[in-house]
Amino acid sequence: MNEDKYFGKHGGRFIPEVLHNAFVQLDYSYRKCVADENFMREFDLLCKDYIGRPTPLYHARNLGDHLGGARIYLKMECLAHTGAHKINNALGQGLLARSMGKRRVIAETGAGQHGIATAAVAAMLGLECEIFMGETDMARQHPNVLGMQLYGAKVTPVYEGSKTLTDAVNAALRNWTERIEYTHYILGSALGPHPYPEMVRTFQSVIGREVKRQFMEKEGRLPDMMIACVGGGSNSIGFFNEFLEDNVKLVGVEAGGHSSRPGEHAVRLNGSGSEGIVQGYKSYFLQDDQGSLLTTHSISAGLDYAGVGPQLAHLHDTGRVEFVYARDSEVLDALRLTARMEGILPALESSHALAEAFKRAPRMQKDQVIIVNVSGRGDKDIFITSPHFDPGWKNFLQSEISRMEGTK
Amino acid sequence: MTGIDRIRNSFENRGGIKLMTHVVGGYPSPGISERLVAAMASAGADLVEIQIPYSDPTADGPSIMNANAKARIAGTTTDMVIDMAGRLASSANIPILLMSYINPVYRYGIERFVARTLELGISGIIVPDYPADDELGLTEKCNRAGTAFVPLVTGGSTEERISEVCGASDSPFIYAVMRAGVTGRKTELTDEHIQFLEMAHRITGKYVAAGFGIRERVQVETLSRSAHCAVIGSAVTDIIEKEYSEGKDPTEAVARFIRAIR
Ligand SMILES: Cc1ncc(COP(=O)(O)O)c(C=O)c1O
Repeated sequence: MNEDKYFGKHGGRFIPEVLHNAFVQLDYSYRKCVADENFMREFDLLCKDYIGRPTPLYHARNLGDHLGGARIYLKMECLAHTGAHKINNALGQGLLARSMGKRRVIAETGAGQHGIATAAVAAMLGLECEIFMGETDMARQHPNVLGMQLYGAKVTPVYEGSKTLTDAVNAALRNWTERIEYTHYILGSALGPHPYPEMVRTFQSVIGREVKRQFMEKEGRLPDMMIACVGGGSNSIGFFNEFLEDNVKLVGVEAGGHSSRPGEHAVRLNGSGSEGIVQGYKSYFLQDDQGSLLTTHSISAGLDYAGVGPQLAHLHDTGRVEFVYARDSEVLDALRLTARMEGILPALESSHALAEAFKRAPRMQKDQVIIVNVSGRGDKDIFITSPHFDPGWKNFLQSEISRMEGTK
Repeated sequence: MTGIDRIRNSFENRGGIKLMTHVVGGYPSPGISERLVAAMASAGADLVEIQIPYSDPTADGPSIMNANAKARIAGTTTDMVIDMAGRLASSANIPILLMSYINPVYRYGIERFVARTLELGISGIIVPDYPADDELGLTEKCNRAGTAFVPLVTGGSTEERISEVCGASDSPFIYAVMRAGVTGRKTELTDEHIQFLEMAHRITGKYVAAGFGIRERVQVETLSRSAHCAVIGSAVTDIIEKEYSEGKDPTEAVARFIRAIR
């Protein structure tokens, strides 16, 4: 057994033999690139000039005053180019694809944020790009679909299963096995077969490194608590990684959906998930007693997934990260409050983390600090949020259609 | 006699290329899938692999994906498929194998799964997403039970990799995947395929079964130059789907197809 493929008992690499060579090459090239100064210099430069890093660390005074208790800082990944942290990893893997000599990249996407980030990077690097997206997600995250197409990507709907993120991963894996020689699969979260969990963490850990430096500059110390939402785990592990050895409380927030009934949530780490080996890695999954995945539900497409990255599963086992969940209704409330108080529109995914912070802050001291990772911005979600917030939304859509038909 | 013995005997018996057919357990219904296997055996299949239905069959194309989904909707469990394989193993007179992705096996319990194959006379297992490192000890447990753990090799594999993948298993045969990608679409067989099959046999000293995209008699004839067995999956699944959706019992059409391809 190769120990460094694992985080505790989770991780590993369970792949069909056709992918063996692709993974040998990926392992080798990934290690070579991250050890190569020129590669990392180009990554850092594009982080700055293309993504707009470092993203700000913003002191949300109004929220703090409103809630009472701990002060709240927001890490503004929502200001990264294309609107979420996903671009950090897409850029890293895009550069890797180019240095492996692959001319085509593919990706799965749920919320569309990873898809749009990959499509943008592919356009910038001159790579062919195809994005797999569940039909359900294409409908609920339509603004991102249009964006990907503008960037020149082909967006392929996936009609299998629950037509969400899990099915998009399967479709991408299937497509990859047919075109390995010239295609790199840019997996969008810190999961999948080794070395993906480690590689995605490496490219995302820029988030936590910046936070540490920025907070040190502002306050001269470490924060008391850090909170991030957890889909597959890329924004959270990127945010936490630099702090794993420090005396900082780390909290991951999963999608509580409507209720705790099977199929109505995506809470994997609070007793509902069990050990399994799915999509090439060992971790906790929401599955039935036959080992088939259960369907999941979340108001946010990006957290609507039955598995969780192996390192987070391990950090759950050791107790280093505490995992909680937020229900859909709490998420909408947190989004509205953040928008109202700070003029910031967070993604539904990120609003899970905010919801948890708003529960905890009032119970903490004035001199304590919570940093929340605002992993993405909420513009993409208007078709989900508007029916909740805007009583006139349906009329607006109808009049918009009439207007378009009238001017045809 | 162990499963490995039964498989070896089957390959040693009679001349000519052998035929292994595939069904998804519980598809199109539990009863019909069991009768299908019996009909395949009577029509001349030399081995049959029965797949345990699963939510995420990533190596399978549309037909077999659809069959997995329908078998699950019909309520097919791992135990039901194992029991069915066991009944067929004692009645059908040919080696019966189980095919499963790793997660259903892992959920069932590796130890318990292998023990059941031994107990019920199931001859071997095929797990497409379980690599050669044998991190869960599945190959070794199969060896000890005399059950064939059938290794998969592909066209891109180097000679070293093929020996590595096949060396750990006592299975008398290996499964050579004839093209990259998923099951279903027809594979155009070329000289490269033939050379690859010959190489795989030379390196491993094992019988070689060739599968993925084998749908027609001419393909089986081409393979008979260098493979010991042809594997037919999606082509049969397509017949089942067509017949069943027209309200017919698919067993007769499947038996006819197998007799014609044999
Ligand atoms: C804005 C945003 N946050 C969070 C996530 C969840 O993914 P992860 O847990 O990998 O960060 C997504 C996924 O699409 C996302 O778009």
